[in-house]
Amino acid sequence: MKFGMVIDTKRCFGCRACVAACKTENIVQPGNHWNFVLEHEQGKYPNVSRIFTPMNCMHCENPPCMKACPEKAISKNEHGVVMIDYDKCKGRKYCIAACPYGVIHFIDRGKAFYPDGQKIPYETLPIEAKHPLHRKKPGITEKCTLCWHRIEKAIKEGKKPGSDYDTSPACIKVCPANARYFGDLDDPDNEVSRLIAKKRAIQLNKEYGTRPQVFYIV
Amino acid sequence: MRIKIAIAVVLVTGLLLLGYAFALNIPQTAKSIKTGKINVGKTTGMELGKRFHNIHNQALGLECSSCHISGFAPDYAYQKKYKDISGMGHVDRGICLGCHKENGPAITKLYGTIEK
Repeated sequence: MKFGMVIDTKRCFGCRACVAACKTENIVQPGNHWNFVLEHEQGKYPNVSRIFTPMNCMHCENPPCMKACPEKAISKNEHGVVMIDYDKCKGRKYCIAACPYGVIHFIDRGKAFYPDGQKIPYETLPIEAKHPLHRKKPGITEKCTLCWHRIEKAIKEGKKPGSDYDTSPACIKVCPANARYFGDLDDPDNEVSRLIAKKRAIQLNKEYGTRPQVFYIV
Repeated sequence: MRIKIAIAVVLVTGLLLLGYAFALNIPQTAKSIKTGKINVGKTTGMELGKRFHNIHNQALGLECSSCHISGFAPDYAYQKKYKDISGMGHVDRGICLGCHKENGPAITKLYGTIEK
């Protein structure tokens, strides 16, 4: 199984439900966004339209961040998910510079969720109580994990990843426009594979030879 | 008119030759960095005075403006937002691609072959 995503920019209307879902699911550092939406206008007045492009880690088949990391802290697992090892990461930021999609972020020191600097309840949990992918700390980099903690659990429990809310990345099922799809790219009968073929979905910045596993219907 | 054309031809040829010379020099510089002939320090990092800037700015002579523009202060090396649908993607790493592509002169091949 090789997991990937299809994002339909024709359906996305920029509500940012995916952004909010990702933020809460992954306790993403204030100021950072594993998921964000780019906007741009096209056409000439009066025939103009606005395009929304949700962005997250592309989980490239040929990830430049992985090659750039001097600590070898970034790896790609057998299901095609690119992840940062928070224990190995030293916050050198080479991955940020190498990524042509701008989806890797640095966790600054001294940024708190609450304005008064108080910790949120999740932060007060002992480190062992958190999933390894949520054991982030200041001074390292972070990015989308394709909600690997959910997919991993689904695989262990014998469920089909992407079949329901709990077995999909947090950003998928919350989309009110059904603009996001997740599934197995290796399975030609999977919804994502069919959409890629039928709608001729594209990969962003293809010229970098990164071979992203996130496809866009444009 | 002829003089203008001649000047333009000379300028374009000069620029092409300069670019070619620069391109030829990059593999040599890259090797010299790798072998330690050019000292770029041992501390990896993006901060000024560490390897990243020592290599790209000091050894290779890339201008600051090649990677940085104003207005994107919170991020690192943000060059431009995409302007149209064909250029989607958050930032332009075109300048990196020149050397770090699979058949490029840089030692670290970050990017793959260009797919059409």
